[in-house]
Amino acid sequence: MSRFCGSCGAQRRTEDQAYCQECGTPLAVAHAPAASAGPVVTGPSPVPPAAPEYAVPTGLPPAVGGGVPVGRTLGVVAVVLALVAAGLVGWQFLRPRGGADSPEEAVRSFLDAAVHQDVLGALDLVNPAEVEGLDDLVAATRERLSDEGLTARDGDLTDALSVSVEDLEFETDELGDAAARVVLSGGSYTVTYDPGELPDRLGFVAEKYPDAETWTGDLLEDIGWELPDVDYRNDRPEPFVSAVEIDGRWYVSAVGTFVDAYLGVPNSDELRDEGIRPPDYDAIVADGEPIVAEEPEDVLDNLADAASHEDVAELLAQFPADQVAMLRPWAITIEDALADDGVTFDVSLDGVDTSVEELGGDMVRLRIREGSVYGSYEESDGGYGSGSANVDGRCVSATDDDGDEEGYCLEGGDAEDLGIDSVYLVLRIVDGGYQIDPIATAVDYASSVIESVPSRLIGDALKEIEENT
Amino acid sequence: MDTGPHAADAPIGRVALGVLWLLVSTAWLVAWFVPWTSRGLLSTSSLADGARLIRDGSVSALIPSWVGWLLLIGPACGLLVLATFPRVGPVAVSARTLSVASMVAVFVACFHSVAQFDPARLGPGGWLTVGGVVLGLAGLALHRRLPRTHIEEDD
Repeated sequence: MSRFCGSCGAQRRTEDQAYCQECGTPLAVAHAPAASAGPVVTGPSPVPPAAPEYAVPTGLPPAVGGGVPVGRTLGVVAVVLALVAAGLVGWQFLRPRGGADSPEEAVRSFLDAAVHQDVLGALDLVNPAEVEGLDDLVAATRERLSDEGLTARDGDLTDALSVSVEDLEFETDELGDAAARVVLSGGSYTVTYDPGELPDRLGFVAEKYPDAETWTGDLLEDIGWELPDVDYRNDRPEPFVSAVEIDGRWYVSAVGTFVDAYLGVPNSDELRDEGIRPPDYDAIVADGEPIVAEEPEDVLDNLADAASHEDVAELLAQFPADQVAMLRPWAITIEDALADDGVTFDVSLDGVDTSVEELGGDMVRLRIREGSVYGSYEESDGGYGSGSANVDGRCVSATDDDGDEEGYCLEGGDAEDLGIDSVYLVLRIVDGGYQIDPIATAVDYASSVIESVPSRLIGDALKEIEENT
Repeated sequence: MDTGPHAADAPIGRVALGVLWLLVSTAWLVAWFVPWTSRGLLSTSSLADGARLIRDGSVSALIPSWVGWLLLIGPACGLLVLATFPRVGPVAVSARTLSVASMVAVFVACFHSVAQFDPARLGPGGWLTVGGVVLGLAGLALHRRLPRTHIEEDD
C-alpha cells in the first residue's frame, strides 16, 4: 500500500484513509489491524470511507512533512475570518454613536445626507443631545404630509426636487479642543426639477411649470448670503457650520451654529482691552455639576434664583449639559459684559400653580396653570427696566415697565387648531432630580401643532400658494 | 468510486463552490457597511448605521426597535457563509440554504420599505445584497451538480 496518492502525490494521513485528503481520489486501505498477521486488503473500502472533514481545492500544496492538512487550515482560516468580521459587525453595532473623524468630514457628510434626504444619515451626524426626540417630530411630519397627500408616492418629501452639492471646500477655525467652525469656502450645486414627481395635490405647480429643469451654480455666490454667516461685515459671505467633538467623534451642532451666527465672531483683543474675557471654547468639555430640582415644580424657582445671581454658568447648569455645551464658552464673556455695565437682575415668582404629567422614560411635562414672573434690572449708570409675565390658564400676558400689557389666549378654535391647550415645559430627570429640557419642550409643541393643524388650514395655505404662483 | 462524466470536474467544482460562497459572504457583509439606496433613506448611511441608531433609540419614532435586530440578519448570514465556505457537507449546505432564503426575505423587505421596489433607487448595498443572493442561488445549484463522493463528509 502506497503512502502517497496515485493521482496527486499527496501523502496520506493514516493507513486507513479511504480517500485522498487533497484530491478525493479513492485510496487503497489496510483494513487489518496493525498487529494482525492477516493479509492486507487493498482496493476501495466496502463501507463508506472516513471522508475528509473539509472540501479541499486542488492546486493547493499538500501538507508537507506531516504538517496540518490544507483542508483543516482552510477551515480554521474561514472561522478566523468570520470571527474578525463578527468583531467588526459587533463594534459597528455597539459603538456609541456616529459622527465623523474630523469637523470637515462631519459637515460634508451632514450636507450630503441632507441633500439626499437621508434622515438617518443626517441625524447620525448631529450632536446627539440636540436631536433627542427629533425623530418624533420627523415621524409626525412625514405622517401628516403623507395623510395630506403632500409626499411623493415613495415617501420622500421632495422627490420633484433633486439636489446635489459638489466640489465642497472648507476652511476650519479651531475654536478649542472640542469645537470648530467649518467655513464653506467653495462649492457648486445642482438642482433638478421634475414635475412628474410632484404629488397630486401639488399638481397646480406641475401645470404652471410643466417642463423639467436643471439649475447649477456657485454655492457662495448664489445662496451664500442666505446661510449662517461668520461675519456680516465681510464683503463676501462666509457660511459656516459649528462642530463639536464628543467622545472622540465630531458632530454638527445646530445650537452652536445658531449661537455663533447670532453672537458673531468676537474680536478677542478688543474684548480684553475692555476687560472682558473672550469665549472660552474649552468650557464645552468642562465637567460641571448639574443643578437639578428635587421636585418638578422647583425648576422655575431655581431658574429665577440663578437669573438673580447674574451667574450665567449657574443658569446653564440647570439645563441638560450636552444641549447647552455650545453656550458655555460665552458664559464668562456675558458675565463680564454684565459686570462691566454694572447690571444686576432681580427675578421672582408669584402664585405659581402647576401640575405634573408623566411622559414615560425619563421625561415629565410640567403644566403651568397660573403664576407670574417679575423681573427687573439695574445698571450702574442708573438705567432701570422691569416687566412681568403672567400665565392664567390658556392666557399668557406680558407687562412692561410702562404698564402696557399685551396678551394672547389659546381659546376655542386656536387651541384646537394648534393642539396646545396649556402652557407647559418638558422636564428631564437628571441625577435623580429635574431639569428643563428646551429641545424636548420645543419638539413637544411642534409635534402637537403638526398633528393638530386641520386639513382646512393646509388647504387654505395651498390655495394661497396656487394663487400666488 | 465515482467514474461519472463529472468526476474529473469535481475538484474544480469544489474550488468554484468555495470561491462562490466566499464572494457571497463578502457581498452580504460589505452590503451592511455601505449605503443601501441611491437617494432618500439610507442613501448616505448604511444598514449598520441604521441598526445602531435604532438600538440607541435615536430613531424609535421612525423605526420600531425590533427592526434593528432584523437588520442584523444580513451580516449574520454573511458570517455564517464565511465561516463555512470551504465546507461542502449537509450541515453547511443547510446553513447556506437558510442564509439565502433569509437574505431573499431581507432584500425584499428592504427593497419595499426603502426603495419602493424601484431598481433605480438601489445603491451599492442593495446591489451587493441582490448580487449575493444570485450568487448564492447559483452556489446551491452548483452544489447539486457535484458528484456525491465529493460532497459526503462530516460537518
